[in-house]
Amino acid sequence: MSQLGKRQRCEVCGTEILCTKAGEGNPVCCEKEMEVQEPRPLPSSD
Amino acid sequence: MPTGIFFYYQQGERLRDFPQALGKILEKDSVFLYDAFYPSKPKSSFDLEPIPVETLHKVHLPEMVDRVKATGNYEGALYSAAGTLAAAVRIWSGEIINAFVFTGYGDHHAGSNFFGGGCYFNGAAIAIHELQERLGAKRFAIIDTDPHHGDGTWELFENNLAVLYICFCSGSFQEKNQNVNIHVPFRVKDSSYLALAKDCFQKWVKVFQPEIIFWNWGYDGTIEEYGDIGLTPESHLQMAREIKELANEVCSGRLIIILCGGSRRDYANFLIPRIITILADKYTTQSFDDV
Repeated sequence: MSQLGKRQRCEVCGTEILCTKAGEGNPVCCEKEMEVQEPRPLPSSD
Repeated sequence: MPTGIFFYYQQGERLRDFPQALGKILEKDSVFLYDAFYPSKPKSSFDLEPIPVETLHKVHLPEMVDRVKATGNYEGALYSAAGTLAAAVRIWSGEIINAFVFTGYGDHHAGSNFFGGGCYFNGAAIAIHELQERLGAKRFAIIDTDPHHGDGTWELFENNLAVLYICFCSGSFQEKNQNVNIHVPFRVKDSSYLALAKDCFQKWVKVFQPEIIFWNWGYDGTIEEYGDIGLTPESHLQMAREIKELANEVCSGRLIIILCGGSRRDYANFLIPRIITILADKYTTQSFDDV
């Protein structure tokens, strides 16, 4: 399932997309599902 | 021209629901999201890049930067200021018209050689220095509505005639060169606060004619926040409309909103998407719910 605001990347051709509307499916590029890129959260003041 | 959203992922509670809480905003053609950071992802043009240390040293003394490194919060502080710098450069180049910058640490208590109150690097000051030195911008305004006095920003610009700094806080009225401190009572109604702000915009900002406006926006003055001065959440939306109109009038809409104080997650979820919607909409009367 795609997640709003998440970036996904094609491991074959390097195409990167941003999910602007979440849905049930997962985008496919170069005949492979695009991988969700995992961000590393940083500390904040709260 | 689009609105830029500058965001980095944070461990804290306040922004835990973002970017998902932006809702339908990301669907709009008039919004770009720049974010950080992804350790294993190759760089792309929408990545938020950290600020080089040499650039930090243009505003903060090297020994202060070293002290920030020693706190363990250096990376978060760096990405907080980086959003403001990236927003300013992209606005000046014409890539976007205005921006909302998510920060994990604020700006206005960071001076040339001191920091505190959840602030480490002064992103607005760094951005102004870069615009001045590298891109030829000449006049800047900083409107600071975080209810605490911005001692860092005041110190950095008290002798700089190119920067109009208006700080709304509980301190007494003071004016030095282009720095102005506006006294706000400990308890204030929305209508009085907004009238005071509009009066100041008329008296100082419209006269000064900045080429870009930075808004240090803190919501800690909202009811039941840690700096509660009696403001309702709706007051921030009205202020956003006023400042957007002001930017349209004096500097072709160039405006950067920098998230400063405020701790409540529910306020963040209510206010931030609505303020970004105001930034991104051609007509500011459109409501978030209509988007």
